[in-house]
This record gives sequence, structure tokens and C-alpha cells, in this order.
Amino acid sequence: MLFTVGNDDYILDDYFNMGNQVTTSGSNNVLSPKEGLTLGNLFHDEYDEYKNYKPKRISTSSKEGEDLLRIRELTFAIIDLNLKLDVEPNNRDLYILFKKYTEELNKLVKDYSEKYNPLELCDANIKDNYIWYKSPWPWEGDANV
Amino acid sequence: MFKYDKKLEFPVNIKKKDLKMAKYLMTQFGGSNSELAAALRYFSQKFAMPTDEGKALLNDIATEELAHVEIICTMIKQLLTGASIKELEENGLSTQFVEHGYGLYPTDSNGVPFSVTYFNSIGDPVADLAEDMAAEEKARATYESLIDIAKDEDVINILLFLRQREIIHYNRFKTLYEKYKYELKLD
Repeated sequence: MLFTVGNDDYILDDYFNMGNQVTTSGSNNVLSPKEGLTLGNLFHDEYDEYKNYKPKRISTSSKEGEDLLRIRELTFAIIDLNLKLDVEPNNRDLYILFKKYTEELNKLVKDYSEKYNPLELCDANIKDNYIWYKSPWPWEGDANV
Repeated sequence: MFKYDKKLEFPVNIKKKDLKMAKYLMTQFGGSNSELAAALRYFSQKFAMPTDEGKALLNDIATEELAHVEIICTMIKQLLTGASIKELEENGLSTQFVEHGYGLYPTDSNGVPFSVTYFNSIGDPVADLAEDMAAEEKARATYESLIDIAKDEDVINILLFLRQREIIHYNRFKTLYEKYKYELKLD
């Protein structure tokens, strides 16, 4: 099975080698959060390649970067599921995925805030002093490790 | 209300200075097909959406578009980092510098300031959604021009992501448009 929901072991290179000829059905149409963030959508049959451009994998160079990448991937998956569910609110399979990813994300965001810096204001109370204002802010390269 | 999330939707870490690319990217900050126009368009139109699906979709896409404004601005800022006044002059950005220093201001790539006349909110959900579908297609086309002209892989990668988001937004608007027009016959 080439497209397994939530399986990040799946290699993007294979996706492109298949030349978009793969037909999928049911839940197998849903890409993993890692593939989703890389391509810009979670639904395989909606991916529209531009010319021969291949999005490269998002690389990180630290543990913090890896942790943040997983948070970004899940955040993205939730955004894309959210838009699809807005127009298909009774899609049970997608809602189950939405629940699964939001639960994992909530936990990871708390863990990240404890280990590094808060991503949300309500998690900025974890340290002994006020740190929300501190750099790096998202538009600075250091925040995108 | 809105809550700030202290991270970008898609990481931006551009290492190569490129003043011309920064100038071109301004179109997606403050041009007629910009992310800013998209965010304000859907935010304004949501108040006249007749069903829960429509209220949710317009609100949620408007929110994501604002995240894209931040991505574009971050790209521009990083592409300009370390630029001297001489370099700004050589790359057609001296008037931008005189007007705004190293600050960002929403204009198109010619320096024309952003205008709310780039979009409408007519209060008719079918008409508004038809505009939204066109807007997403025009933004997609703009991203394709930007990808064609870009040279740095880091820049191209982000633009490919943003282009694909336009396609998804178009598809969602189209689903809603068809429901309103052909099922609910709201026009």
C-alpha cells in the first residue's frame, strides 16, 4: 500500500517516480502530514504539479528543528482537514483523522513550550519569568530551523 | 477574536540575498491578487454567508491567507537582509527605501500602494464565491510567474507550497459555489 494514513515512512521521491499515475480510493487518498506539508495539500488527487518542479523535503538540523517540523506538519494537516470538513462536515473518516492529529498536536505543543519557547500565549507561563516577547520571532531565520 | 501562533505555517529560511526577487514578491503582499487582498476579501464576505458551511469556510480560508501574508513578508525581509543603499539603488528599490526605509509596506511590485478596490463584497453568496474562485486562479497564475522568474531553490520551494494552497482554496470555494447555485439555488 503506497498511501497509508499517517505513515511518515512513506518516501516522497517514490511519489514523484510514480508520475502521479497511482489511483487511490477511500482513506488512501489522504497523504501523511509530512507529505502534506511538503506538497501543500493532504489530498493526493488534488495535487497539481507545476511543470516539472518537485518540492524538496523540508530539512532540519537540530532536535528542536525536528520537533518544530512535526508540529508544523500536524498544524498543516489540521488546516487542510479543517477546510475539507467545512464543506463535507459529515465525512466521518476525515473527522477521525482530525481528532487524532489535534490530540497529538496539543501534546506536542505543550512539550515544545516546556523544552524551548512558547508557540501560543497561553503556554508562555511555563517558565519562571516572562519570555513571550523574546526573539526569534517567526519572520527571523533562526525561528525556522 | 484572533490568537497569534508564534510560528510560520511553512518554514522560511532563505540564505541568499536577492533584491530583485524581493521586489517581485511585493505583488503577493500588496498587489491586486495578493494574499492581503484574499484575506480581507474572505473576511469581509463571511458576514453575508447564509449557511454554517459558508461561514466556516470563508472565515477559515481568510485566516490561512493572513498566515500567507506573513510568509510572503518574511521572504521579502530575508531576501533584503544585509542589502546596502547602493544595492537598493541598483535594483530599483531606492524609492522604496526613501518611502519606507527597511520597513515593509503593502504595495505591488511596481510600488503601487494596496487598495481595497482590488476586491468586492457584494452580499450575494453566489456572486462573491464566483469572485473568490477567480481570485484563487489569478493568485495561482501570479505564483507561476514568480516561480518561473525565481532562481533560488529555497524560494521556489515556498512558492510551490503557496501555489498549491491556491488550488485547494479554489476547489473548496467551487464545492460551496456549486452547492449554493445548483442545490440551494441561492442566486
